[in-house]
Formats: sequence, structure tokens, C-alpha cells
Amino acid sequence: MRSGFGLRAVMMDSDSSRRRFLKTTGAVALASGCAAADQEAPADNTAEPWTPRVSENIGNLEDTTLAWMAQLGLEWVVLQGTDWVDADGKGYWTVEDLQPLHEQCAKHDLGLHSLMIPLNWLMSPMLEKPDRDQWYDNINRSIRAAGETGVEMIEWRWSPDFKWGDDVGYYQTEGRGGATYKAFDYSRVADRPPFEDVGEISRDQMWGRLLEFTSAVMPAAEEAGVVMSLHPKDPPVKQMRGVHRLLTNTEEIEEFVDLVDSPANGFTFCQGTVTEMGVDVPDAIRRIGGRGKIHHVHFRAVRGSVPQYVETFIDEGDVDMLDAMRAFQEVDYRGSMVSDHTPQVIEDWGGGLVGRSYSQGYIRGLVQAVNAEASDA
Amino acid sequence: MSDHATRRDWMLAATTFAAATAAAHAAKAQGTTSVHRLKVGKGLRDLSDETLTFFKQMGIEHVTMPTRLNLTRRKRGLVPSTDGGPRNDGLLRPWDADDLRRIKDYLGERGLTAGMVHLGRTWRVLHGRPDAAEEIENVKKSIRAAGAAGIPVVEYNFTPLRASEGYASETGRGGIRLRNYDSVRTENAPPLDNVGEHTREQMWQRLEQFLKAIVPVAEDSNVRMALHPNDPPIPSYRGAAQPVRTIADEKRLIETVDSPSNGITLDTGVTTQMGEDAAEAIRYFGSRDRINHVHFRNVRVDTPYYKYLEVRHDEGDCNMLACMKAFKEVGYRYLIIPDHTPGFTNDSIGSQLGWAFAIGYLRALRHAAEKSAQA
Repeated sequence: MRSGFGLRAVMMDSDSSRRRFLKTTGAVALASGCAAADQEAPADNTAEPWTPRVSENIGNLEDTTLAWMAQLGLEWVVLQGTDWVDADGKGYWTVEDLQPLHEQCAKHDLGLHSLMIPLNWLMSPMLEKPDRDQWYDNINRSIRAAGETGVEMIEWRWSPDFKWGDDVGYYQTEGRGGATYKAFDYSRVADRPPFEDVGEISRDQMWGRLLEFTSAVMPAAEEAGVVMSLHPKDPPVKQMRGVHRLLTNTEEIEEFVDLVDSPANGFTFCQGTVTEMGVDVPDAIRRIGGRGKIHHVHFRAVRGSVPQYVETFIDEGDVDMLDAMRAFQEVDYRGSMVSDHTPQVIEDWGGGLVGRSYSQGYIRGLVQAVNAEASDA
Repeated sequence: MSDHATRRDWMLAATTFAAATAAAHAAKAQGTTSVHRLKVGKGLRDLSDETLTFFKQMGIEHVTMPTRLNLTRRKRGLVPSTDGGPRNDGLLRPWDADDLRRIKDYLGERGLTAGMVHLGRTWRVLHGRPDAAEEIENVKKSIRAAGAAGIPVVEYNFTPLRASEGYASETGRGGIRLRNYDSVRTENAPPLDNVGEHTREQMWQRLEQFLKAIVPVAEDSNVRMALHPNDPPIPSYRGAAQPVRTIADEKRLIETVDSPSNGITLDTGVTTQMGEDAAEAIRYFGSRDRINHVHFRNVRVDTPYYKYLEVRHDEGDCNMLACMKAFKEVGYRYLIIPDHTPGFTNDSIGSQLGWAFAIGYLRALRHAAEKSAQA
């Protein structure tokens, strides 16, 4: 392995290092109870190459979208846009709702890896409305249905103020070759009043409601065998227009996974958002990923950090993407990874498919490169 | 090596350094401080605003240029049209330096550096016609024009007739359209009237004559010639021998006239089709400074030389990362273009999905190769 640590150091290190150790020496030898020293470690090149479950987050399962994914060589779908799945507006999913989604994906040799909880199902819990128990029931029922059909992950957001554009400080700017980039500047909204439909929400209220929600749903998720992946608030500013925003720094992310100590609980490592936090991103991957608390990855790039930044193409942000990919490999991350979004290119048909194809090519190259490094070492 | 060539190399090194200083600044963001960035570029057929803008957005700064200021986009078929040989008197007309300069400047004004231009087919030379001398003079004029316009590389083929009839398309994962080649399809095809039969000995004799005539002109013009090997690399098609179809042939080529102006296009796809290790070939020719252009693509081989499938860059038999590292190792300084891209269904007229994926992949490999060279 590249780390060059002595065996003792590796063995005493965290969970992630333990996984690395198992990988190097051969899990079979250890599992069968033989002393590792007595066994010839299998050569590294016989090991399967490391790969995360590279996918794309999409909002429809139309044939053209799925064909594009399959043609990129992807095998899994992260269904992010799910408002249409509960077609009759029951407020929950049933096995009957979800089965056709799996069938549609299977038509293109794709598996349905995950579903996003529709934001409107969360509004009552997020705003602490009296009817929220009903929503907990609905969501648990949906999680069980998802697990029953083979969905492995549920994405969710904790954003009562889930807004886009000018309202929350975003603007458009021109980048490479005149491509349209999304940018953020907090000063554009620093003096703006609270949203009428959201009002003011304090830090304690946000945390209290969040923890009530997690205690209501994590047991169901554990039982259903699915993991729950929470996206950090983006842009990661602590406070905007009267609302306290959660998980806007890595300390708070670690606090969250400490407080909600369930194997189902984890975090969407949106590399864009974490970059915006202005932290050492590969280090954050090693710390949070090393604890097994990254369930999903948005592998994208950003230049700058809060209060001002620009979302760039994958290869021109502040983070060296090869270092980031190495960190995911080091912690043996095997969950899903998507390119998320990219700048808008000329004739950007298909809602960003071209920019994402570029990111997908880049991701494929990096995964191959870190595997080559691992087998060279 | 002549004094001229030495001086040219020195001047080239000086200009490359100036360009590289700017590149080094850009590279810092990605943690690479390497002075010579590998030039991941793109071959251009049209110069429409849409095409140029798109490739710039994909991070492309270096391109090959067409010889006409063609502003019309046209979707290219996956399977090439059949090579019918010469249609007219077969005479390749010479380029004009001003014409080339106009196209190069047009690109330059739009932030793209033209690094290569492709010579058309020299039918008279290829077919050993008695009136070939006029064509060789035209080629010399073209090389001088390229030099005068500041285009460092001229690529050419030496193919009396290309075995394009042996290609067909097939469907891959998710319905993607891939191109395959099988020599069985053309095994018994007879010679064409307007082409005739040409033996390997004849083809080599013509190639030697051609090189001896043009390489000194290329040296004088600060131009490097890049011969693309015969693709498909089969021995003969419709009675027309394919002279440069093995690594041994490519070695023979560079030894025939020993000059950096007499080099090859290293096509990773064709090299793999030959059943060879492309990275090793890069080290062999690159360490001798005889690679003047690169086609970077991948292929899955059934029978070397005779049967194979052209696939996406990331999934073939060729170890593309090892190739990129080899280019870095030998200090290769000219263009690397992602050649051929599989046909994504429903793709735009500019085949944006396919090219975006390919260029993204190449740029990731470049980044990894440059970082690994630093380590």
C-alpha cells in the first residue's frame, strides 16, 4: 500500500486501516482463523480492483436517460427526483409503486440503488407541525417498501428553506470557453429578510427536530436493511435569512454521526459542499469515510469557499481530484458516487448530460489511476 | 542530425518554455507543477462556433486543423465510407501558406493552437504512376507552406487503398454503437480498376523515394512529418499491399531516413490491433524522438491485425494510463487526440456525449500521469 505504514501502525489504526489491512493480507486467511503470519498473502493483483459504485443522480427513468447511463458503462441508478413516484399523492410509497421502477431500470441492465425522500414529505417534521407523526409513519412505510424491493439507500435533506437562485445568493457567471457556471456570494443575501413560508428557525429548533426525525426513522431503516444518507446544507453558511443551517462544517457532520449512532445513519459526502466549507477535503474523506459514515458521494469541484465560490468543471476546482479519489480508495469506500452537476455547456441538451459525461470520463480515469497505484505499490 | 535541426530544436525548446510557464500556473490548482504539460487536444473537421466553443469548454487548447475554413457541422457515420481510390486525375494540389495561416489565425483568435494539419492522399505517388514527380513537388510546397504558417506537424497516410469495407457496426452495452473490423469481409474482394495491384516491395520502394524527397524539405521548413500506420493493419486489400502495418515496419520507416522530421503517428489503437504493447511502443519511438502525433484510442482484439472491436477509451485491451505515463516519461511534446469515439445513441450533431466522456477520461489520465512523474 502507498501509506508505507509499518504493520503495527496499520493494525492499531482506525476501522478504515483495518479494512486496508484485511485487504492487503487477505480477508480469507483471517476469517478462517488462521494466523496471518502462517499464510501466504495472496498477490495484490489477484484482488478485485477497488471501485465505488459509480452512478448518476437522475430525476426520471426515461429510456433515453437510462440508455445514456448504460452506455457510459454505469450499472446503478441514484433516483434523486422522486416527486412523481407516488403518482396518486398518498404521501408514501408501496412495493407496487416501486416495483415498476426496478423493472424499468433492469430493462437497461441497471439496478435501482437509491431513492430520495420527496422534500414535501419532510416539510411537516422540519417545521414541527402537529401532523408530523403521520409523516413519520408514511416515511417508515416507504423505507420498508424500498428495502423490500431491493433499494439499498435512501437520500434525504433537512432543508425547510430549500430554495434556488437569487433568493439564496446564487448567480450565474461565465467560465471556461464561455460555459455557464453557478456561483455563490453571501453578501447578496446577507441583509435579506426571512422567507415568508419558512420564518425564522433557531439552531436548537433545527437540531431538536432533526433528532426527533432520526429517532423516528432510523430503526425502520435498520430493520429494512437500507442506509439513510443526509446531504449537508448547501451553501454551507451557518445562518441564512433567519434559518439556522445544519451540517455546514465537518465538526458538525461528525457530531451528527456521533449523536445519531445507528448503522443506518450516514452522510452524503457532497465534495462540492465540503470544498465550500474551506476544509482539507481528502482529510475529511479519511476522517468521516474512515468511520464508515459516508453513504453517498457527489464527486464535483468548486473554486473558493464560503462566503464566495464558483462551481467549476471537475478538473479545475481547488481540490486535487486524484488526491480525493485516493482518499476514497484508502478508506475502501464502496458506496455510490455521482458527478452531481457541472457547468452548462453549449447546446447542453438533456439537462446537463454532456457535462456529466465529461465528469464520468474523468472519474473513470481517476478510479483506474488509483487502482494502478495500489497494484504498483 | 543537421545543424539546422539542432537549431530548430533549440528554438522549439525556447518557445515551448514560454508557453509552459503559463501552463504551469494553471497546473498549480491541480497540484502539478510540471513544466511540459502533455497536450491533450482534439482533431477538428469544422470550425463552427458551436464546435470550437464546445471543445474549449471541455478544456481543449490544442487542435489539429482542416485545410479549409469549413464552418459547417456534419455528423460523421460510425462506419467509414468505402475507399474507392482516386476519382479524378489523382493529383494532390499544394497548400498555400496564406490559406493555412488564415485558418490557424482564425483558431488562434479563438484561443486554440493549431498543432497539426493532415496531408491529403497522394494517389499518384501511392500508385507509382509515371506522373508522380509533379505530386511530390506539390507535397514539398505544402510542407513549406505549413512551415511558413507555423504548423509544426504534417500527418500523412501511405495507403494505396484503405480496407474500410471490412468495418461494420454492432451494439454494445445500453445500445451504444461500436465499430468492429473483420478482414474476412474483404478476403476475396478483387482489385479495383482505378487502383490496380501493388506489391509490398513496390509500396516500400515508393515510400523510400517519397521520404528521401520530402524529409529534407520538412527539416528545412521546421516541420515534422507523421506517418499514420495502415489501419486496418492487414497485409493487403484488393491486391493493394499495406506497407506500414507492424512495429517492424514503423522501425524500418524511421530508419529509412534518420531525422526527427521523419516520424510516426503513434496510434494506440492500431498498435493494440497489432497485438503489441502500446506503452512499450511509445517508449521505443518516443525515446528516439520519432513520435510526432498521437491518436489515443482503445480497442478489444480478437485476432491481432485481422479482427477487433473499437471500444470506449476506458474499456479496451490497451492500458491507456500506462500509455499516458509513457508519453510523459519520454517527454512527448506534440498533440494527443482522442481518436474515434463510440456512438452514443441520441447524441447531438457534434457527438458531444462521446467526446465529453473521452476528453474527460484523457484529462484524468494526464493528471494522474503528471502527478506520478513528480512523485
